[in-house]
Amino acid sequence: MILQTAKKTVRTLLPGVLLLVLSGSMVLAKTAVVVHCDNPIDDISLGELKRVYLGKSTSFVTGRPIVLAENNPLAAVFYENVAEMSLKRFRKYWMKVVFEGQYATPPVVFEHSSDLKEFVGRQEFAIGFLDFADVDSTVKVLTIDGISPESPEYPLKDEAEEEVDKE
Amino acid sequence: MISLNGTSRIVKGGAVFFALLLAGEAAISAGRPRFKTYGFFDMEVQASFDREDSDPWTFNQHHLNFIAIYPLSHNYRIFSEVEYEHGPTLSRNESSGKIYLAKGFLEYKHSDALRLRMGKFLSPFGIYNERHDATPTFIFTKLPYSVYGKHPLASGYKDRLFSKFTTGVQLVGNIYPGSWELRYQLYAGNGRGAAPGGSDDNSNKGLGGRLVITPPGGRLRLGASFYADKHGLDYGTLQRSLGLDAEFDAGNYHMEFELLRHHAEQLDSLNRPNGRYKVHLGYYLLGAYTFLEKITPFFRYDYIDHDTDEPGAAEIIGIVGLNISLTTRVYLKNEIHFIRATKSLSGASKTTDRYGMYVGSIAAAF
Repeated sequence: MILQTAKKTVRTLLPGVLLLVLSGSMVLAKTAVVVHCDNPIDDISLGELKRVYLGKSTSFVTGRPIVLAENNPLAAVFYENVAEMSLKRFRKYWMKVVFEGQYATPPVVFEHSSDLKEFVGRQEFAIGFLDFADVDSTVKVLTIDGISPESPEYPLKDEAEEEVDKE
Repeated sequence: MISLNGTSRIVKGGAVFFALLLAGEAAISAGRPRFKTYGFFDMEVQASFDREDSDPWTFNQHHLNFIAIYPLSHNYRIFSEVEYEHGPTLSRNESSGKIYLAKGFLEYKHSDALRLRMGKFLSPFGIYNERHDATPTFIFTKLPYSVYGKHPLASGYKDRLFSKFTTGVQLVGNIYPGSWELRYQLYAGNGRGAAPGGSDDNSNKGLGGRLVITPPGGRLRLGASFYADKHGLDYGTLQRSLGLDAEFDAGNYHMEFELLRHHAEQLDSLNRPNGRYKVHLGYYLLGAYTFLEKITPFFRYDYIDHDTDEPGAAEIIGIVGLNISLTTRVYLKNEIHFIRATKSLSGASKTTDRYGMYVGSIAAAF
């Protein structure tokens, strides 16, 4: 009796759960690159974003210095997409940058999106990345090569969305 | 050879480091950009085999380095690195190891394309010299002997084929024409001097530079380095070094190659420069593959000819090794060196020495 009730419950809820997961992944799949609201830049190229996170560009095109922020839960996918490096390789790369004496400073790591958002909203030179769903008016979202995160052409997607797209 | 550089150097090195720490604390309280500290540590074990005159096992706490970076503003910073080498001890009864300032410079950033460093820095030569002792950043324990080793320059006198350190000024910058990347470094400073192990000879001036080109895609990096000063074997003898290097990454594969050609002007019977040059030619090839982002077996072939005019005066070192990444900051390394060294004796006769060496180490970054 209990088993039958359980099976019925699963059958009833499964489509809804799947729909929730898929729709959720569509929303969560976009990673937004964010800066302080007073930062005059609105757009960054993918190539420049790579140079920024590899410490090769230490100033925005406007001349403002850059303070890097990392959203740890999204870091692996972000660095794979932007720097074409796994998280481990990215960490090793930065170790080399520091010990060689290069000018750049490694990203400040945040474990929670809310902390990163608060940091970028407060630090006028910061650049970070957030789940697009977590973005609010305290930070400014940059377009990547002129493409907004709302566009299907936006380059910073994760694998989950690609699977959804295939379906 | 382990030696102590003296109490004054230790005091100076320590004073610089702790002054930076205190200044950093003040900056934090004032709300300015925060200073950062980093460092690395390694411990080695080494044993020779097939050789009668060597100790069976040697432990060596080789490096403990403290780095402090103090931003004065967004355009100025001070970079310092103090090295404690070979587990230094200083007491009335015992002294061993070395403590010294490995890097200490003020850097001004005009832009990413133009920065100026003033002070003491590791000379930008080849792939590794700027992080010469930062062993957590490379897969092997011993840097390639052909390019970074100390070589016989004259009778009883061994040294590197370029100045490891430079005290002077350096221009450095990154330029991005299209999808290409260019990094340049040009420096002038007190040269190495003729004293073995020297790096700060005020009577001498060394010049050097390095250029690294990264074509689109970023998998291949091509570099060229040069160094020259006027006190090679002795005062007034010219020396110049040219280095070429290439690195290639494809997925889990990594390959690299470096070549060094060093010219040292020779002396006549009255110890005057005679205008003739002895040429050292060295190169190495390295191949590595990383499994599961943790385990990296590698091989390296090192070749150095100490005098290209004298056939057979060469050393060959074949290395097989295994680097295990315990975490992204801790590495366990093992390597076996197979060494064949041919030396000239009196007349035309030569002797060939063959032996092996095991080197293991644990290296950590913090």
